[in-house]
Amino acid sequence: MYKALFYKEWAKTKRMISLLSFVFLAFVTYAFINTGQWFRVGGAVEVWSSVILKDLFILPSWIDTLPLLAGLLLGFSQFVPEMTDKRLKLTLHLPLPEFKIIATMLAYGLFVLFLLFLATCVILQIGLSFYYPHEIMMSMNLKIAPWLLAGLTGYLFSAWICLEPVWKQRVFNALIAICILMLFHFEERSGAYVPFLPWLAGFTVISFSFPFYSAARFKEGAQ
Amino acid sequence: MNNKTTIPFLILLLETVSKWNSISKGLFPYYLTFESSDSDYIYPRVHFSSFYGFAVNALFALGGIFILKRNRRLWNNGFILLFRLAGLIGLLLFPEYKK
Repeated sequence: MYKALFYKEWAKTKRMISLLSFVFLAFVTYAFINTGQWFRVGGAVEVWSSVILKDLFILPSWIDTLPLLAGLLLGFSQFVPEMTDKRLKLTLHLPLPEFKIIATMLAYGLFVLFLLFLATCVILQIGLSFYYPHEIMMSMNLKIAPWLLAGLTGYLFSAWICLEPVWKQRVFNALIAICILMLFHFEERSGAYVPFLPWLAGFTVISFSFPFYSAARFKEGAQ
Repeated sequence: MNNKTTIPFLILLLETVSKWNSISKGLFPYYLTFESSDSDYIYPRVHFSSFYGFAVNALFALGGIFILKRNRRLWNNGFILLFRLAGLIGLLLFPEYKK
């Protein structure tokens, strides 16, 4: 049954996953071209001093919204078809407890996003380590960590919003989601988020439970 | 709004803004910030302003007994006692799940 559920999710999201993989690949390629250009034009000393003394961020600035966008798009592509003509009813009638069905669907999305983020980080880590020392790479990882967590949390929030059966409640859910996601996007120096990262991870873990509330309301027949 | 009513309203607004520090102590017993001028680190910082605010919270919690028709009154009103208006809005936004 789990295999069938995973296949159903794959059938819904394969196009979106291909699109997201392409966008992340384009991002990584652009990051390498950009870094190469900096070193050619400015020279290693100039680039390193800017990174160390002026806290210049070594990746293109649009990395801050990319994981969140990926999470939201994957969530919508996975859960909007379920809510069209209330097809979720059929899914919830499968011979599995409802909790396990929703948990499997969410686990699928989280796994896909995790793989996408991990592959991006590993490629960046290997490629940029030819240009920068370990300390600068560590600083980059700490800077992008809250944005990656925002991607996972955004995915769970999109599931929470989509599975909600009442439109008015969806708007409230969206407002709360925006407020919480703003906590992941403060403009600060590299490493500023270090003491806050466990809290953000906690938000992500807690937000895993939100879609179950919407699914329960859907089953209850809330209007 | 004509000039006769606009000017007293503006004066009242300015007076309120200038007394905001003392008013906020009564309104909010504590508040949360994530950034600080003393540090570059981001994390939740709780600032206590005064205990009078808890008395106002208790009034809101009493009001909550009449507004919220729910079974778990002790839990809900304890929640309002701690988070007041934010707690009350939260409870009003999320209808109780009936099993």
